[in-house]
Amino acid sequence: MTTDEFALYDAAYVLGALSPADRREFEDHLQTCPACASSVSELAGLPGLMSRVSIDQLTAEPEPVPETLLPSLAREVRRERRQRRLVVGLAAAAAVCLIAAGGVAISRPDSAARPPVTASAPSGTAKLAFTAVVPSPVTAGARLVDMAWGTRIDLTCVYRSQGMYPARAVPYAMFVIDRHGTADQVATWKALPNRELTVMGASSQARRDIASVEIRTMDGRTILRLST
Amino acid sequence: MTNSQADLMRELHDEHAAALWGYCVRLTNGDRPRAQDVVQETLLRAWRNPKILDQTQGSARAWLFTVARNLVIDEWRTRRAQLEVSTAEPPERAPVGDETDQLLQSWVVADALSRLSKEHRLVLVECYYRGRSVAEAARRLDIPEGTVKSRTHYALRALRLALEEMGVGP
Repeated sequence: MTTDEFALYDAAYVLGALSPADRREFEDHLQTCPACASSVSELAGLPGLMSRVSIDQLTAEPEPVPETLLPSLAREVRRERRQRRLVVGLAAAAAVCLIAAGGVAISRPDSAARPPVTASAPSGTAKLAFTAVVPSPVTAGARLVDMAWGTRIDLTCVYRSQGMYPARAVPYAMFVIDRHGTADQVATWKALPNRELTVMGASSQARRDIASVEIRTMDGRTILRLST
Repeated sequence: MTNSQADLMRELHDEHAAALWGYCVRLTNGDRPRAQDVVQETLLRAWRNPKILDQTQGSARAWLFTVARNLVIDEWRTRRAQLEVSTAEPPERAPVGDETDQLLQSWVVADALSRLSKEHRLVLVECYYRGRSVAEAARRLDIPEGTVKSRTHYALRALRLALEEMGVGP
């Protein structure tokens, strides 16, 4: 026999759908067939994940998306494009002081398709680089922006990974440490390999009361620090 | 230029709004105006980061679900902070932690199942969710028992791939 007659039994087996007779035969077969045994173990975790979904979730008629959503999205797109054109116009005129006065909130450092508006960041909110406390694949920079309510921290970070793409993204937290040494967690996120992420943190501390900003792993180790 | 940007948004809406809508309605405990705000903000973020769309559909979905969940959590934290300052009223129950994680995972798995072919999905509904044996599923779906076995075999493999794409592994 060239093909294994049991080769397609693996899924019905892990789902619990084989008849008792088939199941017994297949279990006997598993003792002597490493290929079938390994395909069973590949699938064995799936029923556990599937159990998180209820049958209603799968069979219920999905609720239609509100009709107002698309028009409202289109409005937002038009509005943002107007703002962006305004910012680009100002930058082209080298009106750096005008941007410093009113443009902080509309600088968007994230898209490749966009002109480099952020090159003219207002003074006092220059991007500062973190220094490594321990060796790690993460590099980061941040801009600390004085707000009426405290300080906004615009963090950009890159997680460089070589070789294997890790199966799971690595979680990190950003802490703000004030002049008394009190640490406050202001953001958590998952670093995705080889992609620049922009994370925003918010602290009620005034900019001048922040002694440092740290990036920590979820088990509390500080890996990067920015002293102000 | 304007049109291509508007088209991009329409594309995003058509491809992802339905999946996000169901998730956000659950995430906000059925508060549809809030759910709509969350879906809108999530899709706007994707529109500002078109790189998201270069990924496979599965990982784009996983990204969108995560953004939506974080928006709901952030909003809840802000509201809690305001309540603590301004009133003695007990804040509404937290949507954070295990519960939203479970909801996120459940939605990711449901989304992966919804992207299987109909034949694959149906055979999993019968053999797993309705607890039918291969013989019963074969009768209900009007296909031979051998086909039920082979379909479940390919369906679970397709599901495993779809989940891996979304960053979920068994």
